[in-house]
Amino acid sequence: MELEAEILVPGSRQQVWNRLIDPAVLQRCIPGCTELDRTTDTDFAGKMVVKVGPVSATFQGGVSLEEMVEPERCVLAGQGKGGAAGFAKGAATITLMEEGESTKLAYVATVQIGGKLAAVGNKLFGSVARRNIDEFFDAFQQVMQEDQPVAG
Amino acid sequence: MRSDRVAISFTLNDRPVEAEVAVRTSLVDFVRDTQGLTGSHVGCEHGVCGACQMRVNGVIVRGCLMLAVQADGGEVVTIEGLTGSGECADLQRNFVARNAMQCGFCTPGMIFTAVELLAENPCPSRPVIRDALSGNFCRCTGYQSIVDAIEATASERA
Amino acid sequence: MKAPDGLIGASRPRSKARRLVAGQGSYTDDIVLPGMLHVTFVRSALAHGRILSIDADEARTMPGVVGLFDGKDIAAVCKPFQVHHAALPHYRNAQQPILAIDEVFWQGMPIVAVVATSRAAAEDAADTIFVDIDELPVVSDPLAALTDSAPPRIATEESNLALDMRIVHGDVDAAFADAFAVVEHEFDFGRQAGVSLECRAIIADYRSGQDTLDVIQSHQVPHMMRELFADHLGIDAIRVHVRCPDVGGAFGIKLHAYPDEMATCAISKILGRPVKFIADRMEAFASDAQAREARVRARLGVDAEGKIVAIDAGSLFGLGAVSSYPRGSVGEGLQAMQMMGAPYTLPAVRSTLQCAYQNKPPTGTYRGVGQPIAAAVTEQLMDKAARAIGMDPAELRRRNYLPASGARHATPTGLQVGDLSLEACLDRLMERMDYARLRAEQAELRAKHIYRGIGLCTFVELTAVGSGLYGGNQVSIAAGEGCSLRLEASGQVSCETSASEQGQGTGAGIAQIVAHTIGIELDSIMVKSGSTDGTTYGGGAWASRGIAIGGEAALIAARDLRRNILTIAGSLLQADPGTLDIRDGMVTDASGPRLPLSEIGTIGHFRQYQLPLDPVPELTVTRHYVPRTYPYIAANGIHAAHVEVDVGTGLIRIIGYHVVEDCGRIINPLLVDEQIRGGTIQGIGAALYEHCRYDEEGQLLNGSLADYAVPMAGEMPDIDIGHIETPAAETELGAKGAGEAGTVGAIGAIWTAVNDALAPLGAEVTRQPFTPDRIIEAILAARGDQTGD
Repeated sequence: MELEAEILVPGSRQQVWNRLIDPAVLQRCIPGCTELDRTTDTDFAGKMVVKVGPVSATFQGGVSLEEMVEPERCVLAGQGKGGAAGFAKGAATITLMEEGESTKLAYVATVQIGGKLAAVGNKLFGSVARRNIDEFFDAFQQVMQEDQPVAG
Repeated sequence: MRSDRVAISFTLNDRPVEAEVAVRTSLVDFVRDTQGLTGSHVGCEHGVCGACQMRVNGVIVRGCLMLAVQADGGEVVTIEGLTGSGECADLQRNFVARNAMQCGFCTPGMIFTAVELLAENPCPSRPVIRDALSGNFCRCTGYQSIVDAIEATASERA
Repeated sequence: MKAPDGLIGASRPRSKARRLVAGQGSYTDDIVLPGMLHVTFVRSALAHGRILSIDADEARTMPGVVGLFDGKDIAAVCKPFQVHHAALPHYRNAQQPILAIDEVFWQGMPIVAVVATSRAAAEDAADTIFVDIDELPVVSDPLAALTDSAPPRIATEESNLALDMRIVHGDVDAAFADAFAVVEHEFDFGRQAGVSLECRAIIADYRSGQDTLDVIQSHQVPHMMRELFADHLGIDAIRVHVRCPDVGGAFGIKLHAYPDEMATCAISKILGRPVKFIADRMEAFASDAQAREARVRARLGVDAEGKIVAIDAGSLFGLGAVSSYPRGSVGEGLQAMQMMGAPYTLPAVRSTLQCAYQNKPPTGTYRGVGQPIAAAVTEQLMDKAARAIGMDPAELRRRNYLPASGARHATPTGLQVGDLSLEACLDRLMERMDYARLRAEQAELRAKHIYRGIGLCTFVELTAVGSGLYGGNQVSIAAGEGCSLRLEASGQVSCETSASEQGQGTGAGIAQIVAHTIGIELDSIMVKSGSTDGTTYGGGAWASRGIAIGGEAALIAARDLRRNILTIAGSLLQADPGTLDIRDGMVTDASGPRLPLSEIGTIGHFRQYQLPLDPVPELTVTRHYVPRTYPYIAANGIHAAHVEVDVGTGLIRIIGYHVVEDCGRIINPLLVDEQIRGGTIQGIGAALYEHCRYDEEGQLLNGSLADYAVPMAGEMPDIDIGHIETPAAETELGAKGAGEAGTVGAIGAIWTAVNDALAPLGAEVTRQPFTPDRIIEAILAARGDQTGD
């Protein structure tokens, strides 16, 4: 399944980049993320609660930043194992483009699921993935908003 | 919390039932596991097959999609109660005569659907009967004998 | 045989139906034993991977949890599964652990068993277990599985090839070279699930004191399971008892030993307590034996008169990661290979078979076992040949049918067939469906752009398979059936048969045979089956055997019990037993009723001293019957489907459906017709709706009843059924099997009907199921061809 979209976030490309690779920000923005620890410079391990239709599970997994070209693009790759519920994995290629005072963030994400999640939730999963990704970027936009000096 | 338990009371096949149930317990699990009424069958647990059908407050429901706590204060009739009342003895007789079941696992649910259909439409056409049955899965018969049995009951009652 | 007014041949309702219709069935999950525990299984989410770790710390401490067991725990008390067929030495099989050890090779393979005081508690605990699995390369497609670069579906296996065989007769290439017309078609049969409404279920109750294991199981073959439980758990078979209560549908799916069910017995042995396992619907889709994943490319050559000159078919089957145990998974491919062109005289034939392993659940026997595939391939080719030479497809068939009568003989593919009635069935069908009128109407409607198709599917079906099949493979599966009859003091008869049933009505048919033969009322007989504790031994329910074999055993037992009754009666009445008869439960002579059977029963059981006979003839008679000198009894018939294809939406509507079938002597037409109808609907489901959709990673994408489409009442037609009765020469009863006849012919009838409807558009479908998008795709592809795009 492939999902793509663009959003405009406040801040310079470098500011956006710095936040994007900050584990605290990632933990705050990844929906259902309860833990996220940096294991190497570019790898993070954590837990995330996912619910698709009748299947709900805590996923153990990792997120890693790959193919980093600061401050232009990177790939945010993640995979999670939800035990009996199945697994999910995906990658989002994120491109940052300056647009005046703001930065246009474009992403192309691919997501794959397996196990009970796939068997039962396949039809539902598209909308769930969409919602999760939207929530991630909404939260990220919020982070960038908060970074901006308060006007006046 | 999974351990949350709630006290409920309702009428089951004309007898009062009082129990404390976990909130998540489905109505069909409740009648099967705690009341020993095993005529309602669990075929899919996601509301598709219709084997767990029963009547709650006059309406046919899927016992797997309804929680036991939702029956609180209500009136529940399972296939055992329906049979005991004699309400659909003619329908059941026609099911037998026409061999409108093989393994019998779907049959209680089919009977409930047929009872409801004939209450709403005393002389349904075969396509109408087939449409009405389309929420009940039977892997054995191919449905024709069930349609025959319902049609025969309707014409006997007319 | 008695007069035609007897019970053999009479449509009678089943007495058991009175219980089922009242919700009084007793299925495995309805049964509760004191102290019973519940088990659920953590299954693999990946189709192939290495197990790195299992974290079950939290689960162990959860309320109600009694024990957790992994592959090694179970292996300590239970042998792994290993399929071996002695007669097929080239059939390669990997060992299958009961629960996964180190490696998983299909999505749904059981890894950890969680045992608790309730099912809910077991599931709660299972949800907390984390199995860390490292992905290994997945092979999902059977064709890809056989390429040189394909990864092995099990790391330790060298190849994914299970079996490679061929049948060749005559000079096929020369025949094609000389043919007047040659047609070719490709076939892709989607993988299917059996979808019995009651999921698999078992209760195991082991007691260490006498080393006994009592098993209650939703299954077709209790005797086979008893042998297996004994063997795998190291218990004497005499201490193992398997009982199948009411079974909520089976269709071949409940014919195998499953690892989770075997594990349930192993756990009962370890814990010394009764343990229940009930598969839920999602587990059923992930762990029941599936079937029918096959691709076939086939050619047929005919001469100018429409006589077949040769058939050439290459079949590829996907078996799953391992073979089903103990029957193996190649039966479907072997039957498909051998039955190509089965109803016809074949001067030359080449039929090849490859079976590939892949990272999917094991396939197994499902109603029809390969025969529906062979019939669909053959009949679709016949239709194309008819179009190629401008002959009516019914006429083409008629010209090529095997002759009606004749002694048992071997066909070029090695089938053993005796008396068939192919042409008689076709004639009867033409009449019943008003074939000529439908063809005329079809032509008229085509002019109005209404596309209707008429599809025929002739079939030959192997029923009542004997001891040569599994016996020859040195697999411990009984092919005979037994019947034990006891005249009670009341004059009624208790009957126990080894032929088990899952709703077919075998017990009812056997009651009719016994009542008819002895001369008593149907209500004076009570039939029991499904237990290994009785005196009879036998196969159970597989390969359409219940009445053909179990009925023959019942006939022999009833005849012998009748003789014993009459001997006693003769002694009491001081008459020659040859002058006596039994009617409606009374011993009669020329003067009329003389003695009720209750008198015989009472004296025979309580007042034997009154009898001057020595020895006193037995009032309990047990007889067995097994096909020993012939491999099976071939039945035959023909299906016709009348469909309309909406070329705008791709939807297919079935307008009419007819079957004419010859299952030899019919015991109960009502029940036979219901077998055929139910089987036909399963075939229609296969052709139009049912498909286990797997992605390239071996993930099932539609594992619920909401997503896996099964036929529902609204879409299904009424089915008209006619019969030709050619009694089987092999037995006294003369019955042939009927349980699979519906499925065997229905898939092909839909294939030919849909392609017949699409023919004027130049379109054809090759992939089953024929979903609307595939129909539209075929129509668009044909338009593309015609416009030269």
